Amino acid sequence: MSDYDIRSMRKRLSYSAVAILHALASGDRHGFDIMERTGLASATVYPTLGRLEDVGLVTSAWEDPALARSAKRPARRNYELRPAGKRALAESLDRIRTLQRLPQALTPRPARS
Amino acid sequence: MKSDDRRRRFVREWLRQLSRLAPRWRRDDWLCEWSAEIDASGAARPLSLLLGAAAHVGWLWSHEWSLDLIGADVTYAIRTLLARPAFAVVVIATLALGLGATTAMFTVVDAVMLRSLPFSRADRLVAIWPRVTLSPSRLEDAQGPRESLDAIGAYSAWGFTLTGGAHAESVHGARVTPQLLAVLGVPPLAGQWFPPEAVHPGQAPVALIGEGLWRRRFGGDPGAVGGRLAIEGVEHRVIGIMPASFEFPSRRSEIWVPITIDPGSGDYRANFATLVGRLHDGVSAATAQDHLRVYAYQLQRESPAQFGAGFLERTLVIPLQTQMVRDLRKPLGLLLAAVGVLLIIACANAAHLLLARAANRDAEIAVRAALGATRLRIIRQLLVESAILAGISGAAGMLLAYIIVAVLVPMVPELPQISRAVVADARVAAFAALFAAGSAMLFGIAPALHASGPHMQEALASGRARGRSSRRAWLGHALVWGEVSLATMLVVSAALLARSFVQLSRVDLGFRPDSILTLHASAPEFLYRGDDAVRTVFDNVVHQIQAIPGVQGVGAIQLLPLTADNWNPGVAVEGVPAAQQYPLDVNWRTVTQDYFRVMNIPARGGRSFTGADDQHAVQVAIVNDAFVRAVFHGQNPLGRRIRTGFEGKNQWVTVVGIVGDVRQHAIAQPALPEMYRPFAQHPLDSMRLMVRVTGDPIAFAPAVRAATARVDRDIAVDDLEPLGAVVDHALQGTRLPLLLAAMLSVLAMALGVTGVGAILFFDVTDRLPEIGVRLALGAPRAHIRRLFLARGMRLGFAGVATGAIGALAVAGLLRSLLFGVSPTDPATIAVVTAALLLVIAPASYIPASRAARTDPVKVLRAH
Repeated sequence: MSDYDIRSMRKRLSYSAVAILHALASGDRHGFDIMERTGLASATVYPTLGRLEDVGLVTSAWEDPALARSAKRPARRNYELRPAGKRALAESLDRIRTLQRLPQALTPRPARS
Repeated sequence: MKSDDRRRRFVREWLRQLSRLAPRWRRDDWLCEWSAEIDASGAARPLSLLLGAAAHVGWLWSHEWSLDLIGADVTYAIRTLLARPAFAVVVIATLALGLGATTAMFTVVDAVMLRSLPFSRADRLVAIWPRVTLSPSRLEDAQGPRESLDAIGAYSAWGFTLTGGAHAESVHGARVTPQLLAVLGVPPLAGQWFPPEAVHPGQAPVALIGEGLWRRRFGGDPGAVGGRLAIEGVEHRVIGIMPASFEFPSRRSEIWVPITIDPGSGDYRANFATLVGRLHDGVSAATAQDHLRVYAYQLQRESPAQFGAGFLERTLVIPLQTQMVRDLRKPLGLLLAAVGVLLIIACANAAHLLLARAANRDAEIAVRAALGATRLRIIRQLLVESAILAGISGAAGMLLAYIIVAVLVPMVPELPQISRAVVADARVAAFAALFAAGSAMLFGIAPALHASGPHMQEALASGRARGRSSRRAWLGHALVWGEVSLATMLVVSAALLARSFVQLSRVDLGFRPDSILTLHASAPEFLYRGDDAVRTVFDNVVHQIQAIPGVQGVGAIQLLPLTADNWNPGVAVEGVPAAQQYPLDVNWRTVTQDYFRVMNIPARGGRSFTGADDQHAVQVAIVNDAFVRAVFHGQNPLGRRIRTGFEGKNQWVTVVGIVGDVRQHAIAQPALPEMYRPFAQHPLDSMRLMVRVTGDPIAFAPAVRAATARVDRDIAVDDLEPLGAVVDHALQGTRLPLLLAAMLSVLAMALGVTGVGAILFFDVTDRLPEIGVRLALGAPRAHIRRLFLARGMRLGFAGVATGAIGALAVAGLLRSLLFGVSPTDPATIAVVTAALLLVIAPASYIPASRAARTDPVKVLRAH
């Protein structure tokens, strides 16, 4: 993916995307763990993961099939943050924190005569 | 635990089902990932889980079709097309030709038939026939709203002479009733329309002028309203200016004055008017016609002498638009159809070219499929290529259409007033875009579906990827066959039109148009009041022109031959009971005594007019052959007396001569019964002069002008042209469809023939291994050549044969456009068929001889 695509994706980083990046940063590796941590629906999590992977913020790898076979279960797909994803997450969190510092109530300015 | 297992199994089963909906190349991954997740999570909340999985599948698809991938398709398509520029150019040229011709034709047809006249709610306007002579009571009668008409207006096209300027100017216009505005619904640009009382005699003369005249004569001065204008020497007050779009009753109309109904005046011409009405909402022209026929019946009962037999049948209500484009409707409709056929041929040609190329790309496509490209993905790729081709062709076609329209429209004098607005507009562009998109689908989807079929895998496996399946070969041949058939139909139609044109130009017009200069001269009414003054001034004009060296003779008639204009009263023969009188109108002309000699109209009996046939002598007339046949049923008319509405009450005229028929209205229209009256007995102040000269007629124009000016500077002279040009103009109506049909059929033929050549060429490429083997086994080269030549000729013959049959089937459509040749004329069809086969032969010979030149060693090594 080109830089341009990443930039445009970062600009459009939704809350669920930020939440998923955050979950991955906290050590979650699978769709279900992310769902549990973030409370997002599977219908949101998987497409978002796909999109994040497309723009290069997240990478995924299949678990070693031998390992899965020995545990008698299907191989799982592990998701991981890429450096770009970490940067994007940091930027987004920064922005959110900045927004949080804004005063809670909106006080209208008196109009000048 | 047990229910846990059951739930897991249930979810897994559904996941498996769902996985079928996923894009193929992501299917396995998807299923694996979700199975693992379910395994890990224990399949709690199975429904929301399955919903999530379904949403994921949806996302995968949207991802599949996402824009950046389309972008990749576009890049790839452009690269593919550039790799074979010749192919791309041929396909684009083919389609651009079809689209351009179709769009151009649509532009013209749209302008003529679909666009409304420049009047308010023009679809409600109707023309009412026949024309009537207005009397004060009749006018009032006609103006009142009727059960089916909101309003009726009357007009009479009229030529005016503007005097008082540096020179007299002849201007077209009309005398109209004030109600005409309510009917047409076009407000003046400035000033006002005529007040209702303007029709009463004794009112101060007023006039409305057109925008063009306003700019010309008043320099666009807003103060012109209320200004003065001398028309025929009478000062008129200009009360309003009409917009340039108000082209009524003709394109050249620039002055309108009210019809004044003077009960004391015997001027029947002034009151001979055409009626135009506005229909009530929801009333059809047919209903209005029924209502008017009831009225016509009453009129006939009240005054049977005035409204003779046939009056009822001649009472017609025709939509104004229909009336104005009447003569063009059919040819344009047929041309549109012909152009549509050309477009189909072009699309078929492009389709089989794409099909053939797809055959050569089988290997590429098979490889892509093997690498995991889905069928949809491949189809999309091919569709994108087609769409790009169609897009470029569409743009090129629009450009072509613009050029065609710019070149063509000035060549068509028959296009009615609306033609000025003929420019490619948004609707035309939409039409072209629709067609371009349609053709992209049409010729894109067949090869795409085929090229991506499941057999491709086998093709790759068996190494036959370069070969074409017989089904596709069949489709290609069918397309070419259809092309040739359609092209044959077009060529047959064009050939029939050409023969018809030849027949028309051979028609005996009844007069000899060569070496005649014709001009329109009108003596201003204010200077020449009364018959004597008019007689004298035209005598002088004729004498002056006759004195010019090189002039052999001068004749005059009030209307030019080969034009639609007419004076046609009903006629009665003395001593014949009313019931047996000729029920229809006859043509009525006034001519000077030399007219027949100058025009070379042959005498059939009796005598010609002489100088003795003056106002004091017995009133006489000369009739034509058709008149003798129709009115006198072939009996000798000489010495019999006849009367028309133009002769005044109880004024009988004696028939003294018979002359040959003249094509008075159109070349293709047989002569109508016609009577001529001597100018001396029935002078008119506006006449068409015919000057027979030695040498080039138009060279005499300055001398003729000068001669007229010597008589009086205030005589308006215009429309100087050789009579030959008038005949040419009359032929134009046939020349245009012929020209267009010829162009279209040449294009169609070129496409059809190249179609045969191209498909044969692909056949040869396809069968190269076979040819190589045959040659290696000792087959003579001539045999190979014959094989492919025969293949091409078979295809050509099949196409030409079905085309000929098709031409016979649709022959009826052409009938009304043809003159002197049957639409199923066997000679024409035979000649066209033979000619087409002659053209197809070399087109087949070239690929056939290429096949024969094949080097078996090279081919066998390559395969």
